[in-house]
Amino acid sequence: MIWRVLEAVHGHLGVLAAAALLHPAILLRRGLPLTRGGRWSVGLTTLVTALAFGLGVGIYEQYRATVKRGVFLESRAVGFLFETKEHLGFTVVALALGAGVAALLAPPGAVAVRRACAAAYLAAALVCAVVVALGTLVASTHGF
Amino acid sequence: MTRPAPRPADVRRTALALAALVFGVVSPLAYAAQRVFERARGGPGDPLLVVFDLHTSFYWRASTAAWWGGLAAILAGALVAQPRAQRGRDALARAVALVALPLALAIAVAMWRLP
Repeated sequence: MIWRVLEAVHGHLGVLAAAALLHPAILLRRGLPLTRGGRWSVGLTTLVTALAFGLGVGIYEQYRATVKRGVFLESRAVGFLFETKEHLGFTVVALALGAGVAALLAPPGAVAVRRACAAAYLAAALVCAVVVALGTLVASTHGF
Repeated sequence: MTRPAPRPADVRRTALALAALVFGVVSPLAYAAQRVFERARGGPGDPLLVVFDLHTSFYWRASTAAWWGGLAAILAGALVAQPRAQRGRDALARAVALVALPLALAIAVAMWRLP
Protein backbone atom coordinates (compact mmCIF):
# COMPACT_ATOMS: atom_id res chain seq x y z
CA MET A 1 0.00 0.00 0.00
CA ILE A 2 2.74 2.47 1.01
CA TRP A 3 4.58 1.83 -2.28
CA ARG A 4 1.42 2.51 -4.24
CA VAL A 5 1.02 5.82 -2.40
CA LEU A 6 4.68 6.73 -2.99
CA GLU A 7 4.31 5.86 -6.67
CA ALA A 8 1.26 8.14 -6.89
CA VAL A 9 3.07 10.96 -5.06
CA HIS A 10 6.05 10.53 -7.41
CA GLY A 11 3.72 10.77 -10.43
CA HIS A 12 1.90 13.82 -9.12
CA LEU A 13 5.16 15.59 -8.28
CA GLY A 14 6.31 14.83 -11.83
CA VAL A 15 3.20 16.44 -13.32
CA LEU A 16 3.65 19.41 -11.00
CA ALA A 17 7.31 19.71 -12.04
CA ALA A 18 6.40 19.66 -15.76
CA ALA A 19 3.97 22.54 -15.22
CA ALA A 20 6.19 24.41 -12.76
CA LEU A 21 9.24 24.32 -15.07
CA LEU A 22 7.33 26.41 -17.61
CA HIS A 23 6.89 29.28 -15.16
CA PRO A 24 10.58 30.28 -14.84
CA ALA A 25 10.94 29.75 -18.61
CA ILE A 26 8.30 32.44 -19.12
CA LEU A 27 9.59 34.67 -16.29
CA LEU A 28 13.17 34.69 -17.58
CA ARG A 29 12.57 34.87 -21.32
CA ARG A 30 13.20 38.63 -21.53
CA GLY A 31 16.26 38.50 -19.32
CA LEU A 32 14.91 40.90 -16.72
CA PRO A 33 16.16 40.55 -13.12
CA LEU A 34 14.08 38.24 -10.94
CA THR A 35 11.69 39.72 -8.43
CA ARG A 36 11.35 38.19 -4.98
CA GLY A 37 8.39 36.14 -6.23
CA GLY A 38 10.43 35.05 -9.24
CA ARG A 39 13.19 33.81 -6.95
CA TRP A 40 10.63 31.79 -5.03
CA SER A 41 9.32 30.37 -8.29
CA VAL A 42 12.81 29.29 -9.38
CA GLY A 43 13.63 27.82 -5.97
CA LEU A 44 10.36 25.91 -5.60
CA THR A 45 10.48 24.62 -9.18
CA THR A 46 13.98 23.26 -8.62
CA LEU A 47 12.89 21.73 -5.32
CA VAL A 48 9.80 20.03 -6.80
CA THR A 49 11.81 18.66 -9.72
CA ALA A 50 14.51 17.31 -7.41
CA LEU A 51 11.88 15.80 -5.10
CA ALA A 52 10.12 14.02 -7.98
CA PHE A 53 13.44 12.62 -9.19
CA GLY A 54 14.61 11.67 -5.69
CA LEU A 55 11.37 9.88 -4.86
CA GLY A 56 11.61 7.96 -8.14
CA VAL A 57 15.12 6.85 -7.26
CA GLY A 58 13.96 6.00 -3.73
CA ILE A 59 11.16 3.62 -4.79
CA TYR A 60 13.10 2.07 -7.66
CA GLU A 61 14.50 -0.97 -5.82
CA GLN A 62 11.04 -2.05 -4.63
CA TYR A 63 9.68 -1.32 -8.10
CA ARG A 64 12.34 -3.50 -9.72
CA ALA A 65 11.73 -6.32 -7.27
CA THR A 66 7.93 -6.42 -7.49
CA VAL A 67 6.64 -4.56 -10.55
CA LYS A 68 9.16 -4.35 -13.36
CA ARG A 69 8.90 -7.98 -14.39
CA GLY A 70 5.12 -7.57 -14.75
CA VAL A 71 5.58 -4.52 -16.98
CA PHE A 72 7.82 -6.50 -19.34
CA LEU A 73 5.39 -9.44 -19.30
CA GLU A 74 2.55 -7.10 -20.23
CA SER A 75 4.52 -5.30 -22.94
CA ARG A 76 8.19 -5.45 -23.84
CA ALA A 77 7.97 -2.03 -25.56
CA VAL A 78 6.50 -0.37 -22.47
CA GLY A 79 9.17 -2.01 -20.31
CA PHE A 80 11.86 -0.36 -22.40
CA LEU A 81 9.97 2.94 -22.31
CA PHE A 82 10.44 2.88 -18.54
CA GLU A 83 14.20 2.81 -19.19
CA THR A 84 13.81 5.81 -21.51
CA LYS A 85 11.86 7.61 -18.76
CA GLU A 86 14.66 6.96 -16.27
CA HIS A 87 17.33 8.36 -18.61
CA LEU A 88 15.26 11.44 -19.42
CA GLY A 89 14.58 12.02 -15.72
CA PHE A 90 18.29 12.66 -15.25
CA THR A 91 18.24 15.11 -18.17
CA VAL A 92 15.38 17.06 -16.58
CA VAL A 93 16.91 17.28 -13.13
CA ALA A 94 20.34 18.32 -14.45
CA LEU A 95 18.85 21.06 -16.66
CA ALA A 96 16.59 22.30 -13.86
CA LEU A 97 19.40 22.36 -11.29
CA GLY A 98 21.78 24.17 -13.64
CA ALA A 99 19.20 26.72 -14.72
CA GLY A 100 17.98 27.21 -11.15
CA VAL A 101 21.42 27.94 -9.72
CA ALA A 102 22.26 30.17 -12.70
CA ALA A 103 19.03 32.17 -12.43
CA LEU A 104 19.56 32.76 -8.70
CA LEU A 105 23.22 33.73 -9.11
CA ALA A 106 22.97 35.94 -12.21
CA PRO A 107 23.54 39.65 -11.34
CA PRO A 108 21.00 42.25 -12.53
CA GLY A 109 22.96 43.08 -15.70
CA ALA A 110 23.31 39.49 -16.93
CA VAL A 111 20.45 39.57 -19.44
CA ALA A 112 21.94 36.92 -21.75
CA VAL A 113 22.47 34.51 -18.85
CA ARG A 114 18.82 34.75 -17.80
CA ARG A 115 17.70 34.19 -21.41
CA ALA A 116 19.87 31.07 -21.47
CA CYS A 117 18.20 29.97 -18.22
CA ALA A 118 14.80 30.42 -19.88
CA ALA A 119 15.90 28.17 -22.76
CA ALA A 120 17.20 25.54 -20.34
CA TYR A 121 13.94 25.66 -18.36
CA LEU A 122 11.91 25.32 -21.55
CA ALA A 123 13.98 22.28 -22.58
CA ALA A 124 13.55 20.78 -19.09
CA ALA A 125 9.78 21.41 -19.18
CA LEU A 126 9.34 19.71 -22.56
CA VAL A 127 11.46 16.69 -21.62
CA CYS A 128 9.66 16.52 -18.27
CA ALA A 129 6.33 16.41 -20.13
CA VAL A 130 7.67 13.44 -22.11
CA VAL A 131 8.78 11.78 -18.85
CA VAL A 132 5.32 12.32 -17.36
CA ALA A 133 3.62 10.85 -20.45
CA LEU A 134 5.91 7.81 -20.36
CA GLY A 135 5.39 7.39 -16.61
CA THR A 136 1.62 7.49 -17.04
CA LEU A 137 1.80 4.90 -19.81
CA VAL A 138 4.01 2.59 -17.73
CA ALA A 139 1.88 3.00 -14.59
CA SER A 140 -1.30 2.30 -16.53
CA THR A 141 0.25 -0.89 -17.91
CA HIS A 142 1.31 -2.34 -14.56
CA GLY A 143 1.90 -0.84 -11.12
CA PHE A 144 2.35 -1.64 -7.43
CA MET B 1 30.67 54.08 -27.23
CA THR B 2 32.14 51.54 -24.83
CA ARG B 3 30.30 49.69 -22.11
CA PRO B 4 31.32 50.49 -18.51
CA ALA B 5 33.55 47.83 -16.95
CA PRO B 6 31.49 45.36 -14.90
CA ARG B 7 32.03 45.19 -11.17
CA PRO B 8 34.28 42.29 -10.04
CA ALA B 9 31.45 40.85 -7.92
CA ASP B 10 29.12 40.84 -10.94
CA VAL B 11 31.78 39.18 -13.11
CA ARG B 12 32.21 36.47 -10.49
CA ARG B 13 28.48 35.87 -10.16
CA THR B 14 28.01 35.79 -13.94
CA ALA B 15 30.85 33.30 -14.29
CA LEU B 16 29.33 31.08 -11.58
CA ALA B 17 25.91 31.30 -13.23
CA LEU B 18 27.39 30.33 -16.59
CA ALA B 19 29.26 27.45 -14.95
CA ALA B 20 25.96 26.18 -13.51
CA LEU B 21 24.33 26.39 -16.94
CA VAL B 22 27.24 24.51 -18.52
CA PHE B 23 26.81 21.81 -15.86
CA GLY B 24 23.10 21.61 -16.72
CA VAL B 25 23.80 21.09 -20.41
CA VAL B 26 26.93 18.93 -20.31
CA SER B 27 25.74 16.43 -17.65
CA PRO B 28 22.80 15.08 -19.70
CA LEU B 29 25.03 14.99 -22.76
CA ALA B 30 27.63 12.94 -20.85
CA TYR B 31 24.88 10.65 -19.53
CA ALA B 32 23.48 10.03 -23.01
CA ALA B 33 26.97 9.48 -24.45
CA GLN B 34 27.68 6.82 -21.80
CA ARG B 35 24.36 5.10 -22.49
CA VAL B 36 24.97 5.09 -26.25
CA PHE B 37 28.47 3.70 -25.63
CA GLU B 38 27.05 0.94 -23.38
CA ARG B 39 24.50 0.00 -26.02
CA ALA B 40 27.13 0.05 -28.76
CA ARG B 41 29.28 -2.36 -26.72
CA GLY B 42 26.48 -4.53 -25.31
CA GLY B 43 24.08 -4.70 -28.26
CA PRO B 44 20.28 -4.56 -28.05
CA GLY B 45 18.70 -4.57 -24.60
CA ASP B 46 17.64 -7.88 -23.07
CA PRO B 47 14.47 -7.61 -20.90
CA LEU B 48 15.78 -10.30 -18.55
CA LEU B 49 18.97 -8.34 -17.93
CA VAL B 50 17.02 -5.10 -17.48
CA VAL B 51 14.71 -6.69 -14.90
CA PHE B 52 17.53 -8.22 -12.87
CA ASP B 53 19.95 -5.31 -13.23
CA LEU B 54 20.47 -3.45 -9.94
CA HIS B 55 20.30 0.32 -9.94
CA THR B 56 24.06 0.50 -9.43
CA SER B 57 24.73 1.07 -13.12
CA PHE B 58 22.35 4.04 -13.12
CA TYR B 59 24.07 5.57 -10.09
CA TRP B 60 27.47 5.15 -11.72
CA ARG B 61 26.25 6.59 -15.01
CA ALA B 62 24.61 9.56 -13.27
CA SER B 63 27.64 10.16 -11.01
CA THR B 64 30.06 10.01 -13.94
CA ALA B 65 27.84 12.35 -15.95
CA ALA B 66 27.74 14.78 -13.01
CA TRP B 67 31.54 14.55 -12.77
CA TRP B 68 31.93 15.46 -16.46
CA GLY B 69 29.37 18.23 -16.04
CA GLY B 70 31.28 19.56 -13.04
CA LEU B 71 34.56 19.45 -14.90
CA ALA B 72 33.09 21.33 -17.87
CA ALA B 73 31.52 23.84 -15.49
CA ILE B 74 34.87 24.50 -13.75
CA LEU B 75 36.63 24.97 -17.09
CA ALA B 76 33.91 27.23 -18.48
CA GLY B 77 33.72 29.21 -15.26
CA ALA B 78 37.48 29.73 -15.19
CA LEU B 79 37.51 30.86 -18.83
CA VAL B 80 34.78 33.47 -18.42
CA ALA B 81 35.79 34.67 -14.95
CA GLN B 82 38.37 37.10 -16.35
CA PRO B 83 37.08 40.70 -16.14
CA ARG B 84 38.01 41.29 -19.84
CA ALA B 85 36.11 38.22 -21.07
CA GLN B 86 32.80 40.04 -21.52
CA ARG B 87 32.46 38.83 -25.11
CA GLY B 88 33.20 35.28 -23.97
CA ARG B 89 30.48 35.48 -21.30
CA ASP B 90 27.94 36.79 -23.81
CA ALA B 91 28.92 34.17 -26.39
CA LEU B 92 28.70 31.31 -23.89
CA ALA B 93 25.27 32.45 -22.67
CA ARG B 94 24.03 32.70 -26.27
CA ALA B 95 25.48 29.28 -27.09
CA VAL B 96 23.70 27.67 -24.12
CA ALA B 97 20.44 29.37 -25.08
CA LEU B 98 20.85 28.08 -28.62
CA VAL B 99 21.76 24.46 -27.88
CA ALA B 100 19.69 23.68 -24.73
CA LEU B 101 16.43 22.78 -26.46
CA PRO B 102 17.79 20.96 -29.56
CA LEU B 103 20.21 19.03 -27.35
CA ALA B 104 17.46 17.96 -24.92
CA LEU B 105 15.24 16.83 -27.80
CA ALA B 106 18.14 14.95 -29.42
CA ILE B 107 18.84 13.19 -26.10
CA ALA B 108 15.14 12.30 -25.82
CA VAL B 109 15.15 10.74 -29.29
CA ALA B 110 18.44 8.91 -28.64
CA MET B 111 17.20 7.49 -25.32
CA TRP B 112 13.96 6.40 -26.99
CA ARG B 113 15.80 4.62 -29.79
CA LEU B 114 18.46 3.19 -27.44
CA PRO B 115 16.65 2.70 -24.09
